[in-house]
Amino acid sequence: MPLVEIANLSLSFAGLRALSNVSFAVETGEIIGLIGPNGAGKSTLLNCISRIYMPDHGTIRFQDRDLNSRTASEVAAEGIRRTFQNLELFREATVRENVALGLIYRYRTSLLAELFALPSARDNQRGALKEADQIVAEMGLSEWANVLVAELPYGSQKLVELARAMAGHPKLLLLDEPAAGMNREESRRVAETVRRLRDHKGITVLLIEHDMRVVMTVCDRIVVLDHGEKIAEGTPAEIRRSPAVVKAYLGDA
Amino acid sequence: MITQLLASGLALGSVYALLALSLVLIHKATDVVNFAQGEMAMFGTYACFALLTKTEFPLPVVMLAAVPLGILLGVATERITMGPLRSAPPVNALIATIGLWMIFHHTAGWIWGYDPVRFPSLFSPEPINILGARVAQNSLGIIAVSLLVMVLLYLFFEFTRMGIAMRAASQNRRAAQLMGVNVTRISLIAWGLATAVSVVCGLLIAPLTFLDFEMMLSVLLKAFAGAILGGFNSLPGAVVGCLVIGVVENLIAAYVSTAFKDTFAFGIIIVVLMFRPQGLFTREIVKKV
Amino acid sequence: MNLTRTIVAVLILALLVALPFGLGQYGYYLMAIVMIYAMVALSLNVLIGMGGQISIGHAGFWALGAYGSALIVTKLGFPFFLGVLAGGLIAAAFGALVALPALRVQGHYLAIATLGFALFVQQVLFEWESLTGGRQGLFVPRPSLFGFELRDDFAYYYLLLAIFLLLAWITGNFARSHSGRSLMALKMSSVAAECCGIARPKHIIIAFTISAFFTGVSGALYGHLLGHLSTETFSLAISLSFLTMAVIGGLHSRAGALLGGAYLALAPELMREFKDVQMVIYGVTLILCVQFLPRGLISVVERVWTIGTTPHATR
Ligand SMILES: Nc1ncnc2c1ncn2[C@@H]1O[C@H](COP(=O)(O)OP(=O)(O)OP(=O)(O)O)[C@@H](O)[C@H]1O
Ligand SMILES: [Mg+2]
Repeated sequence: MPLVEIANLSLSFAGLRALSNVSFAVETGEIIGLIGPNGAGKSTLLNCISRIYMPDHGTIRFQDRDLNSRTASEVAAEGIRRTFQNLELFREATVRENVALGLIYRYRTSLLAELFALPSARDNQRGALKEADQIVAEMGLSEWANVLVAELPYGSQKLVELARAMAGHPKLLLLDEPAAGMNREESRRVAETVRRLRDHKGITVLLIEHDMRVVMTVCDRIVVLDHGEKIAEGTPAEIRRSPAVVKAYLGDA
Repeated sequence: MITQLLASGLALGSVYALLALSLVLIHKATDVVNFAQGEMAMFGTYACFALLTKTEFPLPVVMLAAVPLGILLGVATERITMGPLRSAPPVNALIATIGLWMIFHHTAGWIWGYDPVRFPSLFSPEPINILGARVAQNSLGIIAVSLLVMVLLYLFFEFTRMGIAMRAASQNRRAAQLMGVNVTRISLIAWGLATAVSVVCGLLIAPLTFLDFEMMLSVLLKAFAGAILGGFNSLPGAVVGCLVIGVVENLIAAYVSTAFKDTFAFGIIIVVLMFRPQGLFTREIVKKV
Repeated sequence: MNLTRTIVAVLILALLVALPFGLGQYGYYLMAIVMIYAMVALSLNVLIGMGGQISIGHAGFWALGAYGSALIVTKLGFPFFLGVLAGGLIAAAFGALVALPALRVQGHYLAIATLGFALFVQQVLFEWESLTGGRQGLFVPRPSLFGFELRDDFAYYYLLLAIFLLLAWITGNFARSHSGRSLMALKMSSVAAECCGIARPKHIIIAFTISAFFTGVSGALYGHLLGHLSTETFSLAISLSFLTMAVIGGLHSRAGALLGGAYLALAPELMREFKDVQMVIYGVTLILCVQFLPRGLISVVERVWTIGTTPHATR
C-alpha cells in the first residue's frame, strides 16, 4: 500500500488550469522528485496535499485515508509537514521559538491549566522547549538558537523551516525548492540532508527542485509536470531520456 | 401593496448596493475593510447639503458635484491615513479606518449640528402606475440613479486602462507590481472612486431618512451583510446581495416587526459566514503561497 | 528571574496602592474607572495584540457582563462575587459564539460580525423591557464582600485593583502558554502555523472567549460601581473608545493596558472644554498612534526607561 495516493487531481484558478487530472503514488520511504517548468503546478500540488488549496476534483489518500475533509492543521498533525517556496517563517520569533512552534501541538494540557499556570502546563512548556533545543542542535542551528529568524541569511532561514518541519516527526515531508538560491556547496549539503533524513529516520520525501544535480542524485523516482499535467514519471535515468521531458524544458514551454 | 413593497425594497437595496460597492472596491484593491465608508458618505452628503443651502445651485447640479467632491474626500483621506500604513500589518490599517469613523462621525455633528434635517428629494413619493401596479416614483428614481452608477463603474473596469489595471492588481498583486502597475496609485483611485460612489449613496438615502450624522450606521451594517452575501470580492455579487437584503428588510418590517429591521442584518452576516463564507455566488480566493 | 522587571512591577504596584490616598470621593471613583477600563484594555491585548483580531463590538460583551451580573444578583439573589463571575461567563459564551464563523472564514470578517453583534445586543437590551427595564434602565446593588457592602469607592478600588492584577496574571500565563503561543504564531503566519498542526479556528475562538470574559467581568464590576444601567452606555462609541485606549496604551503590554485605561478614564476630564470634539480627538490620536507609535505609549515609557538604565540597550 502506498503512503500517498493521488488520483485525478484537478484545480483551476479563474479559468487557469493549474492541475489537470494528475495521478501518481508515493511508496513509504521513497524520495520522489517533482519537476517541471515555472508555473507547471508543482507548488499547487504540494498545497493541495497540505490542504492549503482545495482541489476541484480528485482525491488524495494518505495512509489509505482520504484527506478530503481534513483541514491543514489536521493533516500536519497526522504527519505531513512541509517547507515553503517563499519562506513562511514566524519572523518576529527566534530560531528556537520557530522550531518549538513546530511541535507544541503535541504538548497540550487543558486551557484552564494554562491560564492558571498549573504545574502540568509548566512541565509541558519545559518539555517542548527541551525537545526544540534538541532538534535545533541536530540541525546544526544551536549557535543561532536565540537569534530572530528575520536576521538570519536566506540559506539558514530555509534550514530553520526544515528544522521546524522535522519537529513534527513527519511521516511525509514536502519540500518546495529547498535548494533555491543556494550555491553548489550548499545545495550539495541540502541533498545530503534529505538523504540522511530518509535513510536514518525513514521519512518519505516529496521534493520540488529546479537544481537538476540535486534531483538526479537524491531522488528514487521523478514525476514531471507541465501546464498542470503529468507528462512523465520514472527513475532519474528514464526521465533524462524521455523525449516529452526534453521537449517541455527546451521546447516552446 | 406587495409590488410597492418589492419596489421600495429594491430601491433600498440599490442604495445599500452603492455603499457595498465602495466597500468591496477598496477591499479588492487594497485588502482593507473601510469601516469609515458610511461616515465618509454621510460627511460628503452634509457637504453637498451645505452647498445646496449656502449657494443657489439647483439640486441636480449639487448631485453632480457630489462626484468630484467624493473623489477629493477619498483621495485626501487615503493620502493622509492609509499611505503611511502601506507596509504595516493589515490590522493597523483596519484600526485607522475606525479612527476615521470617529473623526467623520463627530466632525459632522460638531459642524452641522446633531439634529436631523430634511433633505430635498429629486423624486416625488407619489405613486405612478406601471403595468397595472402602483409604484412610488422615488423608488424608481433611486433604482435608476443606482443603475447609472453601476453601469458607469462597469464601463470603467471593462474599457479604461486604469480600470483594467485595477482589475489585474486585485487578482494578483505581486504579478501586477512586477508588470509595473503602481500599487500606490491603485489605492488612491480605489479610495477616490469608492468615496464618490458612497456619497451618491448618501444623497439617495438622506431624503428617505432625514440628513443626520447617525444615518449611515444601519446602512453600513446592511451593506456589509449584502457584500458578504455576495462574497465580498465580487462587485456584481455585492449588488445582488444588497438587493436581497433590501427586499428582505422591507418584508420583515411589513410582516414581522419593525423593531428588528435593522439588526436582522447581523443574523444574516453570521449565518452566511458560518455556512457559506464564500458568499452565494463567488468562489473563495486563496492566497498564493 | 529578571531583576529589573521585578523592580518595575513592584514600583508600579506600590504606586497603584498609594495613588488614591487623599484624592477624595470623585478621585476614588475615577481610579475605579481606570481599573475597569484597564481590564477591557487587557482583554483587547489578548484579542488584538496576541490574536491579530479586531473587535468593534466589545461594548456588547461589556453590556452582557453588566446586565448579566445585575440580573443575577437582583433577581436570583446571588452574592456579588458570583454575579460578577457569571457576568464574565455569559459574555464568554457569546464571545465563543461570535467567533464561531472563524471555523470557515479568514481575514477580518469577524470584525464585521462584532459590529453587528454589539448593535444587536444593545437593541435586545432595549426591547426586552420586562427583563432589563428597557428605556428606564436597571438599578444595581453596590458591591459587597462577605456580607459587607462596599459603600465607598475607596474600598472598591482596591478590590478592582486585585481583580485587575489577577486578570493581568492570567494574561501573562496565557502569553507564555502553548495556546497563547499558537495564537501568536497564527498572527505571524496563519499558513505556517496551520502547517505546524495549529488549528486556527480553535485558537481564534479561545482568544474571543478569554477576551469576552475579561470584558464581561469588567462590565459587571462597572454596573455595580454605577448603581444604574441604561442601554445608551453600551453604544458603538464606547466600543470604539475601548479600541482607542487599548491601541494608545499599547497592545503588547499589561502596563500598556493600564496606561490605556488611565487615558480613557482621565482624558475626558482634561478635555472638558472640548466636549464636542472629544471623539474627534480620539480618532486623530488613534490614527497617529498606529502610524507613528504602533506599540503604544508604553513603548515610549519603555524606551526612556532603557535609555536611563542600560546605555548599551540591545533591544
Ligand atoms: N492562489 C493562487 N491564485 C491564483 N493563481 C494561482 C494561485 N496559486 C497558483 N496559481 C497559478 O497556478 C499556476 C501554477 O502555479 P505553481 O505555483 O503551482 O507553479 P510551480 O510549478 O510551483 O512554478 P514555480 O517553479 O515557478 O514555482 C501558475 O500559473 C500560478 O500563477
Ligand atoms: Mg512553485
